[in-house]
Amino acid sequence: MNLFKSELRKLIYSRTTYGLLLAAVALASLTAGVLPYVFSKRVGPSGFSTLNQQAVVDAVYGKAAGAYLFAIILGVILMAGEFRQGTAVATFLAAPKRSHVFLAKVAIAAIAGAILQFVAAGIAVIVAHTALGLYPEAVAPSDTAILDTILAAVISGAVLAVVGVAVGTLIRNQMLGTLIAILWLNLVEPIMVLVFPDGAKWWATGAISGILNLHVSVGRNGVTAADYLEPWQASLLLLGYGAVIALVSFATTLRRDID
Amino acid sequence: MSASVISFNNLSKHYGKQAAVKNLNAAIRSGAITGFIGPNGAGKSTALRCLLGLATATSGTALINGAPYSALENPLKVVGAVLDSRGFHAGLTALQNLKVITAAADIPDSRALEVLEIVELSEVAHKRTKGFSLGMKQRLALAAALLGDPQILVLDEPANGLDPIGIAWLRVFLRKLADEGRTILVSSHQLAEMEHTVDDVIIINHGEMVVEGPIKKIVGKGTLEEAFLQLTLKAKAAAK
Ligand SMILES: Nc1ncnc2c1ncn2[C@@H]1O[C@H](COP(=O)(O)OP(=O)(O)OP(=O)(O)O)[C@@H](O)[C@H]1O
Ligand SMILES: [Mg+2]
Repeated sequence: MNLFKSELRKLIYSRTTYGLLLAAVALASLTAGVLPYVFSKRVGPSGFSTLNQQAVVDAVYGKAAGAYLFAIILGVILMAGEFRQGTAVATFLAAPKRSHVFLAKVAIAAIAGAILQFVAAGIAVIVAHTALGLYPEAVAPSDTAILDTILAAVISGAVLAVVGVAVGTLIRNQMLGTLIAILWLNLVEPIMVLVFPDGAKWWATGAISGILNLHVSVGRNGVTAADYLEPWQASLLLLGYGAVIALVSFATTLRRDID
Repeated sequence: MSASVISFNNLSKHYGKQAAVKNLNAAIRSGAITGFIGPNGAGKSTALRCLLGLATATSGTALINGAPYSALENPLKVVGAVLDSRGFHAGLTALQNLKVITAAADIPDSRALEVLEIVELSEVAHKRTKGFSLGMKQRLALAAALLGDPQILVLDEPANGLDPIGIAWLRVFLRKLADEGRTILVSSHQLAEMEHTVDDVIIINHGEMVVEGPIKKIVGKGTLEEAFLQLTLKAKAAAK
């Protein structure tokens, strides 16, 4: 409990936290605000813009949950930042059992990641609603679209921040950890999916899509929403990846000397 | 015999092929200031990091009250430490940096203000540590070490970055802490400055202990520097 309180303080005292929150809000709002315009230019088979399809409108709302990358970064910084700032010494002097520190960080990451995504998605949903209002042809979203989006945002935020802590534990260098997470999700996996489209749902990005449960087949490379895992399966898969990364770091970096 | 407050038992630490600490055996007397002395690279910081559980010994042990640091129930209430590598979060204020620690060690937050007062940093309590001078950071590190009101202090080069006034202040400060019955292990490569501060010394060179004992006995009529040079030369000759 003490460690949890200490981790909470690190988070709320640090300006980086608020920077990440702002960035997440900006990204989610921008996507959700611009997409209606993009879809309004696309003309469907009926001769109208695609905004008259409910699935497309749902997808616009779904994008409000798209700032999950910042939850991962938050998680990475939670651990790797200790080595960047040199506070690792103080942290592990107070709590020499390193796994306890790891668990406290996992707990706080889950909560902080969920809140970050909740706020980002909440604001982006309002932005999406406002932007869609500019197009008279836009239909209403399905009954559950907004709730689903918020739920997906919260779950993905919690899960991915936890994965981020594991990554930050394995890779003590904060810049490197963040960079690897970004490149992995935006470059390595898309290329792998291009090469092996059948395995898409098993990749981290596929699992994230599974959590976000995109209602429309706007997926890349002919991969459609129907091909992804159920949100709960995808969450478990990602947590499993996080656990594997964490176990590797428990056996390696977490034990290493602290300079 | 009861366990020593601090003991190094055949402690060795290797980095690759290089031995930073070799078979160090030493026990620290309770209630005294012990100087842990040796030139740059002698292995002082390495030995202290092993003692504090930050580095894993290659062999041997370093114990506090007979137990490894990691076995202490709430370590900050037993041992306070200043390490050369210790950092503070640049974006947090002095007080916030301390409150992160008080939370972790279940120490009342009011203690953070108290220790800032003790090291004379109250005025900058709400300033971010980013702009702190080396000396201010060193005082803040001391403040952090005092948070748990520990009976044992392990200080790695606490005089680093302090000006002559700061060093004089530190000397008086350490003496006061020792007079309160605390055990202090303080490392330094500045021999002259330690001479007037410590009761006992442990001298190490190239990771090996050269001598340990009361400073008066070791220094004799000369200075600590003379004694150190003589002893290390003797050790070298003996090794041949
Ligand atoms: N993390 C490390 N990796 C490799 N070698 C190391 C590491 N830390 C210390 N060493 C080596 O171990 C030896 C002892 O270093 P240490 O820092 O313990 O010396 P010191 O007595 O504290 O010196 P100083 O007075 O300069 O602080 C040195 O040769 C150093 O290069
Ligand atoms: Mg040193």
